[in-house]
Amino acid sequence: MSFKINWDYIEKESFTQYAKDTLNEAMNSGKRPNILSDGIKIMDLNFGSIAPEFEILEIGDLGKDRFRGIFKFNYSGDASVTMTTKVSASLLKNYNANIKDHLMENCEADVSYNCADLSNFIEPNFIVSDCDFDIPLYVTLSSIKMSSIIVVVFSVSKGLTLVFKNEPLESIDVNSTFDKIRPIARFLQEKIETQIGELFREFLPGMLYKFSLEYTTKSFYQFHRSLNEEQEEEEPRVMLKDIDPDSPMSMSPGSLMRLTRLASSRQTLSLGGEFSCDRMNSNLVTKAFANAILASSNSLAFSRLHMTDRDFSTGRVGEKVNLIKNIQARTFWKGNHGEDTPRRRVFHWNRHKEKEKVAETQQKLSSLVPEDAISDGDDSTLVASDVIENKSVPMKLKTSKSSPSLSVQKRNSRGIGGYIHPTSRISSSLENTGELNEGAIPMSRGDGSGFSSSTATVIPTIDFHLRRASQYEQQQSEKQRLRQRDEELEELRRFMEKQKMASPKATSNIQNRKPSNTYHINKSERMKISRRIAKLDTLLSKKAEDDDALNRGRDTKNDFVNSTYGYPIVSNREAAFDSPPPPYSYS
Amino acid sequence: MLTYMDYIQKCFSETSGWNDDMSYEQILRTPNNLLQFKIPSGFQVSVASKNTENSYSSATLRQLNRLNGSVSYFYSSNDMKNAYKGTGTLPLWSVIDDYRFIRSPKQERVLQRRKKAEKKDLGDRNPYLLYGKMYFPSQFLEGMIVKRLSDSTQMTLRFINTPKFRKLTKNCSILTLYLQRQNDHNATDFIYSSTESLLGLRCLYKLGSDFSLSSSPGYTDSTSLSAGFELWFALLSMSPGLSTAVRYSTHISSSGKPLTMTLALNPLLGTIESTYSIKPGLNSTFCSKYTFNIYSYESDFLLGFSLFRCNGYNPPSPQLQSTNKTIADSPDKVSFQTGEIHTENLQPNRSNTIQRNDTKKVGGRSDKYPFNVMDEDQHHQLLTTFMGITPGKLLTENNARHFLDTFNRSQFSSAFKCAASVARKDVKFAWEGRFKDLLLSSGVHIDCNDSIPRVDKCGLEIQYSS
Repeated sequence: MSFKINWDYIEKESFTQYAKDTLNEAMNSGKRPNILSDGIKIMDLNFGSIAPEFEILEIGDLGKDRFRGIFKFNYSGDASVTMTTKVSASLLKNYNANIKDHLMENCEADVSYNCADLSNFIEPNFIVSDCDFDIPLYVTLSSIKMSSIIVVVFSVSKGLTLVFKNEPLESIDVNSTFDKIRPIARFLQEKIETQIGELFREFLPGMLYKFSLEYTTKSFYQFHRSLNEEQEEEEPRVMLKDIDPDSPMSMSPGSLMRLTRLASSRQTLSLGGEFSCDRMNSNLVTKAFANAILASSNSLAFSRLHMTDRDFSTGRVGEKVNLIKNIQARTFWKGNHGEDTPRRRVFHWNRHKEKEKVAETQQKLSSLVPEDAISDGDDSTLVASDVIENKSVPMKLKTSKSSPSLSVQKRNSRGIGGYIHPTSRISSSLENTGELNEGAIPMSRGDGSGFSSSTATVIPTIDFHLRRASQYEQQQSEKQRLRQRDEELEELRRFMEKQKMASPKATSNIQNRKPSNTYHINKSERMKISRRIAKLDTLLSKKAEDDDALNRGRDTKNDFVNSTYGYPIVSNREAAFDSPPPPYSYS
Repeated sequence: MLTYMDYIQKCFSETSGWNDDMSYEQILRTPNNLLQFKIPSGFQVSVASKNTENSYSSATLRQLNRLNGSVSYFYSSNDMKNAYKGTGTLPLWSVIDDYRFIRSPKQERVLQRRKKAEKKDLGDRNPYLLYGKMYFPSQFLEGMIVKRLSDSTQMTLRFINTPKFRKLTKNCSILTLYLQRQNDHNATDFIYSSTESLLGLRCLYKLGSDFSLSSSPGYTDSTSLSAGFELWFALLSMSPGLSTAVRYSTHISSSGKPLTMTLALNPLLGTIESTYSIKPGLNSTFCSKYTFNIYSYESDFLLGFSLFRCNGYNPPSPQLQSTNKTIADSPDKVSFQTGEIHTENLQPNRSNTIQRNDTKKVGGRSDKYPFNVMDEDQHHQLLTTFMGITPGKLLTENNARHFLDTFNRSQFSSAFKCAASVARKDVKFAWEGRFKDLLLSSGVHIDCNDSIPRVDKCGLEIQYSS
């Protein structure tokens, strides 16, 4: 097997210039011998037209990171190089310079100044015998014949080792300014031959070794760096802290995504990155840590599926709305046609907490609500109480089985309460709704499904909801007539205040009143968290897009359902509660 | 500026009556002083003192890259109290390398005779000087032995030794031996250096205007023509070296200002160097040099000058005035005095003391019988001079005498030197002067080869000796 070298390639002007520059640099590096009074300059460099021949004789070892082979190398081309320099022919000048050099050689570099003193002291004081006399010298090397067997050993960690088995230079023609002076010409020829031999034996392998070492180590480092960068860009690390710090227990799509990512990040073999307690030191993630997170977020936000201004400007609102719509539709579909109703799920999730809360609520409400309405404390109690509370609502819900529409209604109202609360005008209505739907509060908290989160994303529809709320107000005012007792109302309001304190509201005024606790997460950390969340959300939306595209094919059925059952049904039933998000046309 | 070692050696030569200038090595001294002066590099402080009558010591500290220093000791077998002075009192021109006044052979002869008489008093005919210096932290050692073998021969041995630093390096010892012989008219040096077994021969011949004693005019004229050559051969490396040079030194007849011209030739390499140096005033020197190679046509032109700052003039000593009075009646005295001042220009105080001795010895009795006291040679000189006296010659002599007299009385405080080369494109500046009792020497070497001038070397040197 042999190589075919595209020799014409190196005939390019740029390469020749590069080679010239490199040679010039190499020739003039280090200390110039005294006999040369000027630097060596490459005048002409010609690679010739005949390519060298390479032949593989043996490959001893071949691996991903190592190589050992024996090559045969032959060259008898017409390459030539011409260089020029100046030779100092003033022998006594060289004599003095040699004394100094001799002293320099035999001592350390830092006492070189003493060497100059010393040589000044000792060297004879020549008068004009040591005057400058430089002879320009041109040397042309041509018709180079080389043939050798080369052993190449390469390994990533040890670099490249190249050994010439025999003397590579067979013959070389040296033409110089001193061609006519026989002894000097012969001397030059000999000297250059030995020098080139040395170049191939020692200098070239040494240089290649250094170069390869630099290259391999550098590339390895770069490889790692690029790897890390890629990770940083595409997969930001997720830590336990990042999972919706405001509502760690709520099941928003964001936190689900983060959880997924956290879980998957444990499976990766990614190197580097920041210190993260969940990966580096598993026993840091203790109960205390989790508690700290819980304590730091005393308000439970529904969702982090934000709609930012940027979304409006870039027209991604439609996509997000679509996503919400899909989620809602799926939940609705499941509620209607699936075996598992969301209601059931809701109850199973937070059974014990619910029970306590319900009990508490029942105690509180016992005075408000007729005793007979709260019949039992089983799973259906809450709904039952809901039903009881809502019984004055024009739309009567007979059984808890019809929960999809009920839950939709409840959550909508909850959402309104959550977002409209800061405005004082509607606070009264909130109280009313709160009064009516207080049973729904723990439920919605416990539920935390994607559906509930969708309500939080309906910020742009706030006007819509306000309208809804005003309708509610009217409805509630009707209900108010049933129990007009002010003390009870006052009591309820106080209770609601308490509830609000612990309720998952993302309103800022409540957050500001967050009590300081021992597991306080400081400002910078919070900033970091929020940044991460924002980042994650962009990722999430991207992911959702992908999923959307992926599910489009799969969800044709759902789409069909939406078109046939979804909207018409909702609109038939209760347009006020169950209508899909209004079609946006911001883009 | 002279280093302490150079100064001690100079003092030694003066007291032992050895003429430093009478060697081929010094034939280009004036142009070299003005064009190739040394620039200190880094910061250097040296403190020296005379420990006893015969021994001296010096310590040097230098900051260049890292701190280093040296300690040196001297021992001279003869007492140098007449020549040696601390930095607070020594005349500045005795340590600053500048124009060299060359003595004519006749002046030399007169001086030698006096030295001989003086040495009889001193007793030590063959004095010697020992010198050793150790560098720290490099532990380099340099040493020198100067020994007068006879009245006309002197041996100088210089050696250096470096310690063995690493296993692979060798310790380096070099020895250079000089055997010098000189008389009024010629000087010969043999040199051997252990590096490559270098052998050298230097010869200098002085061709004064007094070539024949009969030609009476020019006795007082310091005009001299010197010619010399050097031969070198390194036995081990077979490298030869050869050069020859001619020097002409005189005073301009109209103003008495000294000038020196040299022509040096290297026949082997075809280099011709010609220099022209003149002292246009008491406070300035100017020098130009032209080099040319007949084989390569390479040439260079160098220019250099030095300016002195003069604080004032010493008043002429009363003895000098008294002798000057006698000048009127005795032309011999005039010539003698001029010669005296001229030859001893580097040590006016010392020359004054000699004069004092003279006037005590000769002039003291000269009140009665001045002529009778003189020896035969002086009689002869007096007569020939008196016979051959010409008004023009007298004018020249008077001008030269006046110039030198004023020069010797000048109190210089500092000197500024500048030298530039056209081919090498470099400029050197140096300032040397006295601040309180310290001698300061500073300089900068600027290389203008690149587009942006680059400071090649700069430094400051402070010397103190007592």
